[in-house]
Amino acid sequence: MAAVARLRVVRPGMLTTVQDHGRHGQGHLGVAQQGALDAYALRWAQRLAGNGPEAAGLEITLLGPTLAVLDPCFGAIAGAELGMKVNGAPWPAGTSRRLLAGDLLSFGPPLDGLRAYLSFGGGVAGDELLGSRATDLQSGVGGHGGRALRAGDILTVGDLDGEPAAAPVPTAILRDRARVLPGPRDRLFPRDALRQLSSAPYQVTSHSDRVGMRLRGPEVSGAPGSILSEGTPLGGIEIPPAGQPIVLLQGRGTVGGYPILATVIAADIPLLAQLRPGGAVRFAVVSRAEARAAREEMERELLLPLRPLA
Amino acid sequence: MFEAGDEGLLLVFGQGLDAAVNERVQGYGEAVRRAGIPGVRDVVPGYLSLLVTYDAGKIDGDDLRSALAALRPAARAIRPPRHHEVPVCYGGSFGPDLEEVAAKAGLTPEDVVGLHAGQEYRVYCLGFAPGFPYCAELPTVLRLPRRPEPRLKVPRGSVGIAGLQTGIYPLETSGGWHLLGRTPWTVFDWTRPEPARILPGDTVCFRPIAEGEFRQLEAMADSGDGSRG
Repeated sequence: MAAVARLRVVRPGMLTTVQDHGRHGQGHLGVAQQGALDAYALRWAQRLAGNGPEAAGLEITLLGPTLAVLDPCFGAIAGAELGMKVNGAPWPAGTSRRLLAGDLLSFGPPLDGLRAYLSFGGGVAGDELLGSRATDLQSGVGGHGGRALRAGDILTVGDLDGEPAAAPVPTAILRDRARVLPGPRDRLFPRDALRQLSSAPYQVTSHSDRVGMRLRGPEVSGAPGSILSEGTPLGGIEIPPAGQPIVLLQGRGTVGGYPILATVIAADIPLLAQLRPGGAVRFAVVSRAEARAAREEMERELLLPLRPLA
Repeated sequence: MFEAGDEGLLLVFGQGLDAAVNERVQGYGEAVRRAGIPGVRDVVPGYLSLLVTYDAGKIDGDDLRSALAALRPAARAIRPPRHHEVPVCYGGSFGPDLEEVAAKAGLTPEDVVGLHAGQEYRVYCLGFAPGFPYCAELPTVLRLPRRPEPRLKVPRGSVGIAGLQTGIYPLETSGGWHLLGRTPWTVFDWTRPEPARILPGDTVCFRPIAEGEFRQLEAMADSGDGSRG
């Protein structure tokens, strides 16, 4: 980013971090993936901002920040509808617009979903580490000093202009059914474990964060307890001895010691990222062909043309 | 080979704790990383398995299976194994669980230190936090389940035990292991081209040191001429 624009963090919101596509390639050293939990919404924010998929944006959780625009820039918001406003007037999710010095961005009340993504023409600056600007809150590195935004922070973003536009489809996936493939460790469980997992909805508990979602619902019986630690896939559904599942998200550690009964398909991670504590999700076992179709559908959507705004 | 969702494959090489199995895991992991297969994101060795994650938009799962099956494991993982003698100041504020572990094992704290520092461990994998070495296997009498409630903040360099494992916390993180002591070593340094000091396949033993030596080594590590080796 040669030329830059700045924003001042007036209030940081509940949890606002710099995130991108995540940190790949150093998993064998224990370096966590991180990156936007709803990668689909971040991609929309980047498209609306006129950026490539490698750019970083802000991941905003439920109660958004208040940001004072210090220099002219071009903003894009996508994902959850968290009640974003510019100088008090609504700025709907899935649109982009020009911002002027003196504009005040604020949020609330949150209407739908959990996580929104805010980006700017030219992206959001952040500490780059091993090929990614994603904030790793567990290790305290990447993004804005390895931490969530705080009041008084100055955020550096690009100052590239763009044409205001709207996404052709909703930018947050708000469904209550997550598709899973069995495994990798389904064979360590009794035969009906997968049936129990998909028998009724689970509730998202408040002990959920970027690392994982702890669920409460039908007990999966016969969990073999701890196993020798092994690699954890994104969306892996761990079953601790008590039988209540944990779904692992982008902030998870690279290895874990509970067996993974099933794994949420890549196309359905975004819907998990939008579920609030208290919300419900039901798992459905699908085939590899269905997983592929879901991914291709998502990629097709991301190529649809933007709708220009007057 | 087991599917781990639509963007992962888990290759399982054996059952139970077995250095020979882990050696194959590490060798295969190294081969996959060296092969540079387009679309492969991460190659994560565990004790007895290897997770390969990939971008399904760039490589088909079946094609990746074939590519993996055709690979010949590398003879050695990453670099020749090294032996590390890790200095540890046991007990007190450095090892807040030493007394409790001793009581549970029916031993004196000195016995626990003697047992923990009295043998060599193999590093089976890294994980949990960047550069955290999973070392095994702990003497039977010291094997305890994890603490019922994890601590929210475990200081950097803490040396802990859980089950048949011992390990070193490279950074301040949360953690549920029993803490016996702390090392002044920097186990993971983001600024280095090879950030992890201890790698799978290496061997580790622990050398008890007094607080004075801890402070001395810590000061040396901070000034950049630390004993990395």
